[in-house]
Formats: sequence, C-alpha cells, structure tokens
Amino acid sequence: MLELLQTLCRIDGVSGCEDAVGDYIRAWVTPYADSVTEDVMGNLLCYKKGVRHSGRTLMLAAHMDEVGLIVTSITDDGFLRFGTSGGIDEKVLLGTRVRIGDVRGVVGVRATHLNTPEEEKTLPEVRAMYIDIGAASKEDAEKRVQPGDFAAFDNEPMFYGDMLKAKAIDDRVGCAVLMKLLREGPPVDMWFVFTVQEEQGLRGARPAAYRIRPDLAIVVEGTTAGDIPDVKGAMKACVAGRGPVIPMMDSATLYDPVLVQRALEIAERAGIPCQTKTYIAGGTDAGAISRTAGGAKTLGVAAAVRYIHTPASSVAVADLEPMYRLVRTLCENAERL
Amino acid sequence: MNYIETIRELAEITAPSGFEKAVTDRLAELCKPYASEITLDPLGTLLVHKKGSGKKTLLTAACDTSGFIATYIDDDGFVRVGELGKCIPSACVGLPIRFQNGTRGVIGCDGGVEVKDLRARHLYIDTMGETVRVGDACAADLPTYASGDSIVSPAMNRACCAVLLDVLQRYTGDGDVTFAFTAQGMLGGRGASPAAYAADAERAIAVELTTAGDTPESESRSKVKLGEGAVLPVSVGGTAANLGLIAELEACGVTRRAVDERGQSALLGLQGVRAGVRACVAGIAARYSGVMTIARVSDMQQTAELLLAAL
Repeated sequence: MLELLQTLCRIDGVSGCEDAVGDYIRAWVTPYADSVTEDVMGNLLCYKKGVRHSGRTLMLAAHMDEVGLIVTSITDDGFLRFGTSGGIDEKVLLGTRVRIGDVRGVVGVRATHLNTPEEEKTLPEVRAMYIDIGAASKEDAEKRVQPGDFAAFDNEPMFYGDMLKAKAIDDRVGCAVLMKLLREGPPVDMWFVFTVQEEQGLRGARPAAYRIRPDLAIVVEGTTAGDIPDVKGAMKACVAGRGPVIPMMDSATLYDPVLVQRALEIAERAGIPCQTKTYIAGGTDAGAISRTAGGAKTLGVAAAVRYIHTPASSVAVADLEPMYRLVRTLCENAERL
Repeated sequence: MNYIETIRELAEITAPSGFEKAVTDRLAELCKPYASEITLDPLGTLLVHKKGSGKKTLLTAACDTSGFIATYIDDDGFVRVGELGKCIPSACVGLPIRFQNGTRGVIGCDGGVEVKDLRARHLYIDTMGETVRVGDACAADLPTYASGDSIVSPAMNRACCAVLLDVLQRYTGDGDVTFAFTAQGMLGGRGASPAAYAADAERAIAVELTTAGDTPESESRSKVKLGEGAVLPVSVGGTAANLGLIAELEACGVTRRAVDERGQSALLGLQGVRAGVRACVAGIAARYSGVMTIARVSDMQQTAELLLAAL
C-alpha cells in the first residue's frame, strides 16, 4: 500500500480536474471490480461482490481530488495570477514549486527591498501573489498555459524518520485503502466510490450517494493532526502514529454515535490501535452522503495527517496498515454496525 | 393538550443534536394512538405518518437541543467538548449540564482568556470526578417553568414539537400529513432534507422559533413581539420562503409577516428536495437564544390553530 500511496500522490488532481487520478484508478481497479461506472461529475463507482451479502447497501468513499491552485489570468509580462481550489493557508504558498501539467513554476515572492515596513509584518493576499513559469512574455506564457488551468504542488514523496511526506495524502490515502480492499476482495458485497470535488464543498459525493442509496457509508479520509510543538491536550485533534482516527464529529457531520461506539469496540476486539478526534474541525463527504435522498448512516476512518493541505502533508507509515485493517474489519462486521 | 406540562416533560429529556433517541422514543409513545405509521430515519428523525386521501403536507419541528459532545478527558478528569449547535461561550461559563448517562457537571473555562476572546475550545466540563466517556453528549441542566402565559426553557425547540403533537392529536381532516420530529436541527437543520425526501409532500411547513425583537436595543430588524400569534417569516437566514404558501396560511388565521435573520432553519433543506417542495416556516416568537428562551403559550396555541386550519 505504501508504494500505491506514493504513486497516487504523484498524480495531479486538483478539485475540478481529477481526470488523471480517475483514469489511473479506473485502469487499476477494472480487473478486480464487478462493475466500474463513471458518472457525469467524474465520480468512479465500483461494485464488487464479497464473500457474502450483508443485507444492506454498504458504500466506502474516498475522494480523488486535492487542494491546489487555478490560473485566473496572465499578466502583461507573462506571470500567472491564480486563485485557490480548496482550503489552503496562503502562508504555505510563498516560494512553493507548482506544476500545471508539464509546465513547472514557482509561486513568486516580492523582493524584500520592495516591502514597506508594514508589508514586512504581514502576508500578501493570494490575489497579490503570482506563479512564475519563467515565460519571456505574455505571448510565451499563453503558448503554455491558459486561464482555468489547474496548478498542483510539485514535489516528490519523501520519507523522513517514521513519516512519509507527499502532497495530496488527503485523500489518496483513502483511495489506496479502497483500492487494496477491492483487489484483495471485500468480505461483503459493497460499493467503492472515488469522489470528485470534495475539497470544493463535498460536491461529488451527493450524486454518487443518490445513485447508490447506501444504508451505511464509511468515508475513508485524511484528517488534520495537530501533534506539533506547543499544542496541548484536546487541541492536537489527533496524533500521527497512534493509529487510524474514528471521528465522532467534524464541522460537516455528526457520525452516527451508536456506530462510532460499535466501531471503537470492534477495533479494540481486533487489537487495532485507533484514536478519536479530540477537536471538532474539518469536514468530509459524509456530510453530503448522510443527507442525500432519505439519508444514510455514516462512519469515518481517517489517517492522522500533519500539515494537511500543504505540499508537506505527512502521514506516519506505521498508521497505514492498521488503517487498512480497520476498514477491512469494519466491513467484515457490517451486520453488527 | 396541556402545553406547559408537555413542554416541561419533553424539555427535561437530555437529547442534544445527534443524540435525539431519548426524546424521539417518548414522542413516538405520545404519537402512537394517532398515527398510521411511525418510523425512524437514518439520521434519527421520527416520522409520524397520518394517512389521508387529501393533500400531502409535511410538518416539521426540530426535536434536538444544543449541547456538547465530550471529545477529550484530561489527566485530572476535566472534559473538553465540541459544540452540538453554536453556543455563546461566555453565556455557558457556570452552566450546569447533564450527560445522557445522568452524570452532572458545571462548565468552566480556561483562566487568562478575555471574555471577548472566549471560544468553545476554552470551555471544559467539571464532572466532579464522575465518569463520562469520549463521545458522550450533554445539554443544559436547567428547569423549564411557566410564568403567567410565558414558558421559560433551555430546550424551547420542544415547544415546536408540542405544537406538532397538538395538531396530530386534534386533526380529523382527510389530508395526508407527515409529522417529522427532525434530528440535528441545531446543526444547521440537517435532518430536514431526508425527512422531506421520505415524506414526498406537496408542501412543507417548519414550526420553528423566530427571533423576537421586542427587547431593549434589540438588533433584530424585524420587530416581532411575543403574544401576537404565529409569525410567517418571508426569509429566514437569507433563504426565501414560498410566498404562495405564506398567502395560504395567511388566509387561515391571525399571522404576521417578518424577516428572520438567524441562520438555523429547516427551510433550505426542505425546499430543495426531489423536484422542489413549497416550503415556509410557521414561527413562534422567542426571546433569547443563549441559554434560557422565553416564549408564549398563546403563540404556540395559535400556531397549532393555524396549521389545523391550513391542513
């Protein structure tokens, strides 16, 4: 799964432009799935019969998209103005390498001698930033890029200590878990759904859930970990290396409280280390799925990701296998959820 | 129906957003003699169907209250919480609370934080050593009581449930009515949309509390007063109600139009379902949304009369 995760993270799929990720996943899962459908939004809906039928419609969901940038215009001297796609803290953008397809660039930083004393103390707004693709002129830039093109963080996965850094771990880690379970064969009949535009407001999940009408959906995600210096107690939210997270609640969803307790019990009985989320933040596709049509019960399983939504997003390698085992074990216990 | 007794009984059930089962269990008992069918949807909304050959109408009332969910328990046993519904942190300091398992506590806050900077993350619950688990939910542990025609309660949503109960018990017409006691109302009206999908009604009316503006220096631009009957907000938190449906209700009894600027409403969730549902709010004027809310029994009764006439 570690190899697969790195491969998935190398592919660019900023919200609204997930095609490359979708193509890769579709080709990869087609030999294993009983059916693979792409809907009008670009969601991939894969069905796979398991060892048995659980008596209800079970859906696993992971989103294919990642946060990134979108080119809004090209300046007269060939630099690119941009907006953000998904929630990005502008602090992380300055000096960052980005790529627009094969075109490489950097987010430029004003030279210090140009700053007023006030500007030295504050961050520029995104609207004042630009991407430098090394173009000689506006015409030169227009040959390579046009407004509406998406820019992704340009970096390679890297191991440091116990951690793996890669852009887009949120939510390629969820995609990797679903793909592995699909390949190994699920314990019960179920849907594997790879959604689009999660980072833009959970937009892909609703039509996917409308088509499938799950009784129960498990959303497999990356979630924000605040286990960094000077953060104490509940504010850490979750801790990298302490196992997968079963959130009780985030800003978009109150996961079914009874299912959450059962999931924690199932994990404990299976000896899978896991944690809850100690601070309410973020949101997942469960917010949309739980309210689609007549509603659905939802559960979440997430990897604790440090520096989420940045080029340096990082996951503890030791968390990946337990995360997969937890999702698999929950599916094995589908009748008890 | 005795509104004061009914509201007091319902309000004393600890059942905040997402943890409504305790109150829907009781509501199901109260509805049973009058219902054709009773179901619980995946989010925990209680759907009470009274079959009829006439027009299909959905009536909703949120049955949850705001409260807190335990997210973290520190080494000394202090409980950190997430908000179930937006709280006003400064109003919560010192608030007595009760968990669903019966454990009682008082809300405290971190030292050194200015009132204006106070956020929910600075709050904790002191349970005096009694046990709670992460994931347990709690709500305000304060009494509901009557004073003249007014009711004072930390769980005034339950007054909207009482209006639905009253209508259910007294309705004898041939309309096909679904009474939805919706879950997660304080979390942005999340229960409304699945309820409307299940009911598949031609029109939906949400019984909700409407912010009163009859208090000193009120910032509410709609000068809604207590004690003047049902309020029909043309807009709630920026969502427009169906004017045709408002006109239908206006023809049925004493009402006032208003604009309600607060955000939590079922309206948005109701009207976008399936191919669209005509939806509006029948509002009960209420003062104070912090901890204790005040509303009038006469307003609740008139809202019930209005709905009975409109069905």
